[in-house]
Amino acid sequence: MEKNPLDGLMTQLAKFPGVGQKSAQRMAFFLLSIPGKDVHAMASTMVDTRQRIRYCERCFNISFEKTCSICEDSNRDRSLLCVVSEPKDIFAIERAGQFKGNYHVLGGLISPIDGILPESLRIKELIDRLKSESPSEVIFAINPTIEGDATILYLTKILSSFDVKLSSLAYGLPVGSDMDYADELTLQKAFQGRQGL
Amino acid sequence: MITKLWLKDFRNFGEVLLDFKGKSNVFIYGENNQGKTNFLESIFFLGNGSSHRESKNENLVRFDTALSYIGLEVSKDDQKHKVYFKILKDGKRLGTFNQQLLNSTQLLKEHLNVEYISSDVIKTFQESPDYRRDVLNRFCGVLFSEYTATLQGYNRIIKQKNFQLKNIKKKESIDYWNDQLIEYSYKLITMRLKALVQMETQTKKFVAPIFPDFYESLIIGYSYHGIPLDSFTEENYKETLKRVLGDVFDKEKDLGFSIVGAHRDDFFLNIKKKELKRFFSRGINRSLSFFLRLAQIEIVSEQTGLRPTLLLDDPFAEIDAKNKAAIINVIDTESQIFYATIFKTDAQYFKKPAIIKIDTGGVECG
Ligand SMILES: [Zn+2]
Repeated sequence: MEKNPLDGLMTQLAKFPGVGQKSAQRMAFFLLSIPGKDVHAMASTMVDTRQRIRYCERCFNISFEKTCSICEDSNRDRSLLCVVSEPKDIFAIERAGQFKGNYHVLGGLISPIDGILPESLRIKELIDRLKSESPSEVIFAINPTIEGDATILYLTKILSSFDVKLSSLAYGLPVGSDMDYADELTLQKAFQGRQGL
Repeated sequence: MITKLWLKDFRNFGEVLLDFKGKSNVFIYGENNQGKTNFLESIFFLGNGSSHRESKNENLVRFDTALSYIGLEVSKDDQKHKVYFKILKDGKRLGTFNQQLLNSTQLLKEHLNVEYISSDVIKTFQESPDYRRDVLNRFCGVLFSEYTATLQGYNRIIKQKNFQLKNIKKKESIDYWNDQLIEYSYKLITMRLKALVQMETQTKKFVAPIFPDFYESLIIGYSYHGIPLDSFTEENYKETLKRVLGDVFDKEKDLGFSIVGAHRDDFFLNIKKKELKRFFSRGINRSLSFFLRLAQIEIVSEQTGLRPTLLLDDPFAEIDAKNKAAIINVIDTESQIFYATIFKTDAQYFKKPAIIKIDTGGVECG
């Protein structure tokens, strides 16, 4: 007997976050129901995006170019530097529209359990930027988890020798909540009410 | 008050239907291993949605049957409510409250406050500090809404710190865990101390009529592991802990785990400045451990406004007849008591109880 012809496709689709077997099947049938060229466009966009995406050389945001559009934008305030854990945090903050400065992506948070020690993060690169760009304020927009707080504590200590104001977002969020899910108004307030460290 | 109980194929029981005829106290007697504990367990399950001792529901179903039913009727403010559970051999359980399917135990907890105390209660001061910390953590978790989240955060810090200790290059790398450890430890201990004060006050109330000479000098205290502290203030605690954490760094590095903070602390009960466990008889230890447990139940019930149903599984062995009578007398008469024992004569300590006999022949009400 022939095995289910959708098995291979469903196995791949079920790899998406939040997609179980049932959703994978629904998606597979959806792909069968639309014109072949649309499926092709989807697939090639996936491959193309994945191949072309790289990290911005300056802030480590995702970008198609050597430097990202935010770094390229001369209207943005270079005196404000917002430190985040992942590129997706930049997207959340940009959606809120309150912040008009630049970013720096650490590439994670300190977490020895997961083998992430300070050395694994882009902290050296952050220090280099502080030296070359001398911003007046560094804002930590980092989720208030145990690991987030540890990272802020570490950076505060490391950066205390620089002549720069350090602040962190005033989250009205419960501990452990993800910035990705914070609504835009909450993030706007968090930026306005940021606290010096 | 629980007025009726129905069991079908639960543990070693066939079908049992009991009507306590409005009696608040239920006296259960039978030899060991006949099912007294199983009987109490069924009531605990109905009140809490899980067993107090068995994590695998499948073990609650009688060996040769596919599923088990249990149910009870509880009357509260002149209203009657019915709770049923169906327990399946695959471990699943399905509960209803007045025929409404239960999605959580919320509804149960609003109507029933079923607590179980066995002779194991004596372990409180016999076992290692881990055991007492569990007791205290559980109690604080019920008492303070933010306690459980704080404890989880604290445990996460300890776990991260222990991993860091195993991979340490610079002493400074431990600072950002220790700084957080100090904050969380302080928060936990603040709540623990409040809980212990309440426990002490309530335990003393229970102890007073039976051991009047203990009343004045009974103290429930907190021991800070490895931290010399004369008084607990925020500044004092945080500074002292910071200093000690600095001092023990090399030792922690060698051991690969964290050795000071709230996760190592303990509590004790002293009478006349003497430690309960070392200087007093097993009977006294048992009585006081029982009252400490009862005090926790009492404090929670005052907070929720729901009187407890106490399942007492022979908790008074080694206690002499005079004190046994006095202790049972102390237990709030507003609580419903299910008392299981091998001593038939213990029935005399209760006013007009419903009497239940459990033996190989089954369960008999009479
Ligand atoms: Zn950039």
